[in-house]
Amino acid sequence: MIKFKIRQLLLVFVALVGVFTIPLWIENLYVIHLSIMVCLNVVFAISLALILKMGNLSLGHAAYIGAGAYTSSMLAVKVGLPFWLTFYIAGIASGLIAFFIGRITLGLRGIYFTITTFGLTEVFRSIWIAFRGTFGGPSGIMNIPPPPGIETKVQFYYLALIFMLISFFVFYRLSKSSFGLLCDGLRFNWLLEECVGVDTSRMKTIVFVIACTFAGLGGSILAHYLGHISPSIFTMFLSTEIIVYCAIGGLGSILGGAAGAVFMTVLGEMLFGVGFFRSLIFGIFLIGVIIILPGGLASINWNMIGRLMQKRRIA
Amino acid sequence: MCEVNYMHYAIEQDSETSSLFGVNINRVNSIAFGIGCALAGLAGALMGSIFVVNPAMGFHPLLNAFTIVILGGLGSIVGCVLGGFTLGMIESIAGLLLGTELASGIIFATLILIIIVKPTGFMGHD
Repeated sequence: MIKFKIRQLLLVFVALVGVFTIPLWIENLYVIHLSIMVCLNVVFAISLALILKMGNLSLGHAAYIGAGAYTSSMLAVKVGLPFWLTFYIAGIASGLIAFFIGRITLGLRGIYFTITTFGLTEVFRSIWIAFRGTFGGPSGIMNIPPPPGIETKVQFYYLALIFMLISFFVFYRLSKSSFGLLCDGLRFNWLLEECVGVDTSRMKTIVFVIACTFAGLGGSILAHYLGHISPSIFTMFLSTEIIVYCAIGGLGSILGGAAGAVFMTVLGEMLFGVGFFRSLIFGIFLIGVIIILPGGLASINWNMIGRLMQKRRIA
Repeated sequence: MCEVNYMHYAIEQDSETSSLFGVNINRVNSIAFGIGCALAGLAGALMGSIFVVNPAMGFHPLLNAFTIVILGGLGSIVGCVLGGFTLGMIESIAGLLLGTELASGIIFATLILIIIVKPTGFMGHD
């Protein structure tokens, strides 16, 4: 058991050294850009994975990412606040919206929550398009300043990486704590959990607010990295893509969500050459994973694969 | 009201018990899904004759449909008709007064209002 733990720690250490030294041994800026997008997508995927862990499907994750991105860039462009302040305000804004929505819909059982989150994406998009003076209309907000002291892509990569590692640590610890066990309980048998004495609607709201706060923080970094945001980024398709990451990684698993995001972002970038068929291949891949591996990437038993390979070597 | 309709009510209330009483859940669900999709396709064909046909034309009606179903009460056909009329009126009048770009915002506000005031809708049951 102890030996296994040492091996695990060693693996984590090697992985950390690996991701921290990527800019040292790869000078291709495209790879750095891809790594930044992977980091941000991992944050979005793990925050959605925590919501899925408690058995609720949120179809509006893009709305919270967009809320964070718009709050942060509006404050930076129109008021002139520095990034290190707008970053936190973006998270708080997303969290407040999530609190409002969660308080109303998470107490009800059934499809109310899913429908409301679905509607929220459309509403935000219509508000961003309708108020041209404030939100810039369909063309969005331009010339968002990068964070002070962070100009090159490599520096941005470290910002995104550190943010990703912190949020991964937070979500992983949450999912492994007693709080995470209560989340699992909500998914498997909410009635029993309520009978035991857990305030399930309060629990759900807390989880939802935490997840959406991190989505908003990620959206803020995304806005300052891209330098230009428009309503066409934060649509239903972004939400669906994040759900696909979680579904391929394994629903309700934080590690699975992260793995799915890394895998699908890299695969998606590689498929840009085929143009329109990208979403088709995405869909076929998702159906394939659901049929072959219903539990997602997280359900692969690595020990079993190792044993199989050993057997083959002997034979 | 036919036999399949009663089966739908039974499945909605308790799917496991109804399957014990001999209801073929998969078959009844498939019939309901098929009828629903056929009606949606019919409506799509009618819509296509008025508006432009494009791959994303289903998004706005989807939000409307969800809102109408909640407004009328989940699982109630009469409620859906009532909800459809109400929402159509709200959307048209709001679009006239506030501009069409905010129409989906108004629909969503209606949805939130119903969920706060009466989650079961006009004709819904618990």
